[in-house]
Amino acid sequence: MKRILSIIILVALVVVASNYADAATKKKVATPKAAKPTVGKVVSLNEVATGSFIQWKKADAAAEATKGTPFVLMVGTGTKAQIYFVYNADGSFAGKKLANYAFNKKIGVVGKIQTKNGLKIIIADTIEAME
Amino acid sequence: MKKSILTAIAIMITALFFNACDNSTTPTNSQNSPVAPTNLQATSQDGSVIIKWTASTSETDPLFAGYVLNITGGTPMAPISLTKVQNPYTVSGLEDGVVYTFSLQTKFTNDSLSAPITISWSPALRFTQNENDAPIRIYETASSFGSGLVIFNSNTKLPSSAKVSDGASWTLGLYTSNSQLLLGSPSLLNYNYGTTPGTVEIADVITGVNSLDEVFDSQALNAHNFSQKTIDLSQYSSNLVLIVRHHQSGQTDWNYAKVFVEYNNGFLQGTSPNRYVEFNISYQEITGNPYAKIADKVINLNKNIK
Repeated sequence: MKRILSIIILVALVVVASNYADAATKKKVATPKAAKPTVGKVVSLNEVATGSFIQWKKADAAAEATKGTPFVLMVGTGTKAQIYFVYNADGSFAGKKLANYAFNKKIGVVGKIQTKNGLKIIIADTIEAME
Repeated sequence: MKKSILTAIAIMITALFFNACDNSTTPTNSQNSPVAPTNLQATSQDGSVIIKWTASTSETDPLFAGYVLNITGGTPMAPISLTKVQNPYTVSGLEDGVVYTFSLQTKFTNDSLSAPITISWSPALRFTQNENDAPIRIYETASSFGSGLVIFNSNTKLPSSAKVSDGASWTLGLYTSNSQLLLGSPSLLNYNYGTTPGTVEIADVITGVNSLDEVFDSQALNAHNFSQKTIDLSQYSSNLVLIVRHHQSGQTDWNYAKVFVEYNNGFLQGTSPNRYVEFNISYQEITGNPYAKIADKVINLNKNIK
């Protein structure tokens, strides 16, 4: 009798464990991690250095980027502002691409965020205006 | 004597016979006058118009010498001679928004011309990139990016995307909640807009095309039946073109557009939750210009107007 009871308990434990594992797997599949964009404003590194920010026109920003001025993503304002250097998936600096968004009030960048030598870097999958 | 008379008569009869035969070998199977081409259609590009037509039955005529295209409506242009293989033909150097009349005639080597067949059409803006020089995309409902397509941002004069908070700017909206895949008039989509969308009407859904250059018309776009509607993209498995009209800010008359919706093994591209639908747009910036006027009918097809 004791033996039968032990077997029943063992089988019940196996079934419960199996269901739990199955449920955990389903939960994992059903809720992929949301790719939230890093949201901020495109500014030139010169503006960051001087602390004087302007509202860019698209053509002016493009011309400035062509001259070699780096454009970056600024998240937040004032002393709490954080600067992100945005790179393309192929490893090239995306400053010129970013300059095309300098006239937008707000943009979002989706991608892998890294910190290297104290610099915040985003390897961008998607860059979009968010107005 | 009698024999020589008979010989002379035989020679004359033979000469008359050969003369008759000689006449019969000239190319007299030509029709008297060239026959006009038919079914003249047009589509717009930026600064140009592509026309195509159904070939004239005179193309097989030995006297066929090609077509003559006359263009009126803008800066005067010299007539253009076209061969039968130059169909479709792109007329460049035109001004967007100006309605040009294209008049096509069949020409014979003897300079006789058929009656003209005409169509009036305007070049229009063509957008393959948005105001950020990036592909024109709007995103699924779950994305933080905009699900609204602004086909013509009056500030930048280019397309852009917009978020739900700016519903008034939306021309078309994408809705993907509840397992739906809807594209259509923003006011019919289940969003809680920050600002109220305007009226956007959609006419035909055109399938089976690879680009806007393949969407030809023979009549003005306002001849279509428009209404506010949503398109269930899940019912389609190829590129779509939507004929759309909306009101620019402050305007009461319509602005017309053709919106190409790209299908690439599905309409939604990319990775969840930032999947997107991609577009190309033909846009008539001039308010109240439905790209064209209704094509004239060919009157008296065989009329020789030489």
